Amino acid sequence: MTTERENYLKILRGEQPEWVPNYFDACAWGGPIIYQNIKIPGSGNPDKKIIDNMGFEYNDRERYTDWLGIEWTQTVDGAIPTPGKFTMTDITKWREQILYPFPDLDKIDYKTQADNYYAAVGHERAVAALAYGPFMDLIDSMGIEEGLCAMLEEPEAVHDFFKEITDYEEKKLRLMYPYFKPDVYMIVEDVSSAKDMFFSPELYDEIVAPYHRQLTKAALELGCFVEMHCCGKCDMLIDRWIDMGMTIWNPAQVMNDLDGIKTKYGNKFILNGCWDNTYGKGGVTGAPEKDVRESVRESIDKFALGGGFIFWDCGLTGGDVQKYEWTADEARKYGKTFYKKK
Amino acid sequence: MSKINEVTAAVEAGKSKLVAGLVQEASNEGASANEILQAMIGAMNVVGSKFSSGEIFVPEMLVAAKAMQKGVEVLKPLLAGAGSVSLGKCIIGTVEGDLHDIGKNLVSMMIGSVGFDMIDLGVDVSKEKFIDAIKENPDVKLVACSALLTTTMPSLKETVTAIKTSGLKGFKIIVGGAPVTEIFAKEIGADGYAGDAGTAAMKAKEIVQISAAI
Repeated sequence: MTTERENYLKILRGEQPEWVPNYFDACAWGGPIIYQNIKIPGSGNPDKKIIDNMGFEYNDRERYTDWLGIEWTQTVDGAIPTPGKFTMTDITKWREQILYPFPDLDKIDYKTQADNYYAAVGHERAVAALAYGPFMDLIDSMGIEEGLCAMLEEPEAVHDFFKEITDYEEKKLRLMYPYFKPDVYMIVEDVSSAKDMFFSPELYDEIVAPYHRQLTKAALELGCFVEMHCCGKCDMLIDRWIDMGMTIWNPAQVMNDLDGIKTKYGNKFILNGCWDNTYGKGGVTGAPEKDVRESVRESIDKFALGGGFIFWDCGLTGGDVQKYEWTADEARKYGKTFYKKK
Repeated sequence: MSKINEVTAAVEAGKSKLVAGLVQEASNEGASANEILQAMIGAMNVVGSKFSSGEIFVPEMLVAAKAMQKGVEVLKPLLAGAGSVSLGKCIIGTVEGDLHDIGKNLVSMMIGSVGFDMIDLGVDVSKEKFIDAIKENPDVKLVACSALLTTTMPSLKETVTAIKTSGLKGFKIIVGGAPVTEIFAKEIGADGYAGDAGTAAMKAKEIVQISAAI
């Protein structure tokens, strides 16, 4: 019997899958823990607990600091850098203003971590290892306004920071790969808002793309498929990502020309997402179960033909757990038999 | 090129390291503080329009706003004696339940750059806090409320409703944020809506000036 992972890998290879996968049924996020985030005692609401995508428990609005010294606040929709509390004020002094040197990658026991991970997660699902992109580290460290100004005003210092971060991520990938053997290497880099990129495609080519290319090349050499995580309107970058060797993109959100991408690339560039979690009839706040389920079927009908598609509701629950139980349930039911009916 | 034109060009190009010196030179050559300020505001209007039309992106807009701030710092002592040229106070914040501040900060920077004095209440701002801030600043001309999440749009509605029914008057309310539409803004009783930071600055000027003319 075909497992979720085997079916998922068929899609990644550009083959016809047996069913339409519901993202988190088919793929788990994983990878080594290099640094244990330090929770700030007494922060957040202890009566309201949140489990993040990696399975860690937090209080709602609980604050913690990460490996760069950035303070984060956990919410039901994910963690965000605590507004107004940034560690870096001057990119030319980044080594002095964030936690540096970075944690020693050579001291991590990757084998034990991988053994523990697979003992908990199993091997039924594919595994995607996540790497935060250098742009995210920049804006999380100094805020988006200052980070974007730095890209124009101090490009050499930004390159210096990005290179160090990227070399570190590449080393982490190469050290962990023999033990975790992720199927997918996902670069997490939100360079867009709902309406447009935060900066021009030309600036992307000049300052960010070289580092995406470096990480993609390393992951491909090791045998991973490479996925880009980029929220918002970013379809103008897809040709660039394909040129680098990436084959998957999430969360393919509806403000992009998803029809055009599907038509242009077919099952050679995989769309992970394609459900309107903002304005769609199932995505709007308070949508009834009937509309939520119908919207899932419509999304699958529209994008799953010929393969190259993974259904994902794109998260952002706003605490509406029930809605996301409906999307998952409908995607399983409808997706399971979709290709048999066609 | 006259010095005042050089100031305009430097603001538009986001040359923050040059603007302060150019403003000083323009002043030394006899340009009044108000003339220089208006030239910089004009430059920011151009920047805002270019951003709204997609000709430039956020970083170019940010460095222009930063350059203007440098120029305003030089002008401040001169403006103090020349009478206020401010468009008035603008209270801005992200509504309760929402911690996102990127859009709000961009809008604050752009509205500030066209001549408003900004009072930034930050994120997760309750309706009561908005109302208290308005009471503390009875001369406020504009209140700008932001929401990024679909789940905090009801909070935006509650905030606008609470302000509108508070009995406080003399200002306009504009709203914005990724999921907010013009239709929604009208439904909840806001006086204006802006889809991006450049438009917000123009809309802010427009509704305050219309309001003043009535």
